[in-house]
Amino acid sequence: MITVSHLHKKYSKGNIVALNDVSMDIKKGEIAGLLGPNGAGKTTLIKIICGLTIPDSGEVIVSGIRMEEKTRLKIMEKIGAVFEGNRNLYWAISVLDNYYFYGSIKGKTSGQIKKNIEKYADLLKTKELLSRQVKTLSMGQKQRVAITAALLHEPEVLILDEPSNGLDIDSRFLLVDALKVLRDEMNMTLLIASHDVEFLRKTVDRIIIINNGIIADEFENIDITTDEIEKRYKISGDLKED
Amino acid sequence: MSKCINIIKAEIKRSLKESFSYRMGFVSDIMVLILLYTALIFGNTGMRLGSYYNNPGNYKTLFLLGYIFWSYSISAISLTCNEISAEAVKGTLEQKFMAVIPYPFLVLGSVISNFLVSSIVAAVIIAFSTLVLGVNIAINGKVLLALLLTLAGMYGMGLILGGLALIAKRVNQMTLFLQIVLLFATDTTTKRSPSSVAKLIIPLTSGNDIARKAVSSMAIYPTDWLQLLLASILWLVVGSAVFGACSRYARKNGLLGTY
Repeated sequence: MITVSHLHKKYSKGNIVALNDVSMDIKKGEIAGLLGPNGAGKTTLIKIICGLTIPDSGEVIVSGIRMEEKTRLKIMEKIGAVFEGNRNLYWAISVLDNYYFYGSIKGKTSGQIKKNIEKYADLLKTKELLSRQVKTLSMGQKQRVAITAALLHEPEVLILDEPSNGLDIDSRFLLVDALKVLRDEMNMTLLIASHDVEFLRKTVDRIIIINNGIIADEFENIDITTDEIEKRYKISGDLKED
Repeated sequence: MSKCINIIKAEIKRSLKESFSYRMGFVSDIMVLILLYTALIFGNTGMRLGSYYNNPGNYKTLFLLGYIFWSYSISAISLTCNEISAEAVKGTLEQKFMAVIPYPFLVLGSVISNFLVSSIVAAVIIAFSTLVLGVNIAINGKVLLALLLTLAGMYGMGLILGGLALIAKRVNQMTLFLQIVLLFATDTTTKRSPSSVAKLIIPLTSGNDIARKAVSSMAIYPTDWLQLLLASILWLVVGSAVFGACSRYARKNGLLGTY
């Protein structure tokens, strides 16, 4: 569903190599976790897959379509994404207005959006928030609303960057369950970038370790502890275990 | 095509709702424009306009017309860059770049919404001017056409600033400077002689001239319209090209999400 081949990305500012020959393959209906410390290259990789950053070289294929300037918009129909830090919504308008806006810019009609709000707002328990202004919501509620908004066009691929940041325990459980429903009942493919080992362990089918811009390893044995990961992949620092 | 129209409509709706949710900002913008207008009127700004357009008794009306054109224009040129800076901070810019139509179409939605909001501002200024200062204005079809052509060009200018905002983010100071320059460099406040070529390259100068001729029952020559049309097309073409290049640069350098 997502194929990434030999991606290279270097930012001229600061002469930083963000990605160095990164390749990976994520199957349809799989939840893959991208684990690495801050600055490992997770966000750059995600933004390249979302068509927001142009790589220096390499190839991205989403739903069988190769990412190019002329195919980018077609791929956008198939991807939903929520980026880090509660910064995906319009805070001054209501949740419902956000839903209609985000559904519309992905090409859905009002009728389709209404139907999908029923479906996904129910799944992520955001129905009771519809009339609230986003700025009045808690961090966990905002995150759930942002994910609901990203689902309203029924994407084949959902990409989440640090979705567990700032979530209370109830929201974490709710999110883990909802993501599994998306995989099991809707056959959606999910890519979740995080440095939260515990969250990934509970959610994903496979963990891909990224560090210093390279894929260090990938494994399906998700019982591995944070200490083992840090030791084995020489990741010093900020992996998180709640 | 219908998908594109639906998305533009959604952006207009969202943008209007957001504009009206910031009521204080909206009201304070109107207050600033009214205060500035009042100060300029009491300073007898624009007396020369009356003699230039053979309409000495109505120089305040001619000035008001220019002021309205200027207020629409500054709103048009600041729209794109302010919007981009604000959306980069809010984090919604990347979501808009992930829409299924190119981002400039979403800008068009904001532009239309901005035009509607500017029209409310203009209506308030005209009402204040008529009721409090006794200066009124009769808008006709030629004035409206001149305004729309002027704004097309000014939005082109705004796209250049918007493109720079994608890269540098904070270009608000530059926009403010440009707004003040436009007030004095586009025959908005006065008129001494036929405008120089440099002035005529700015659509607001030609737009002001045509609109004032229209309300003064002076002849408007085809060359006047052609001048305005060409200047506006030039700015739209250059603006779109610069915006496209800046947007690609921003995506190459990972700048879309930064602020």
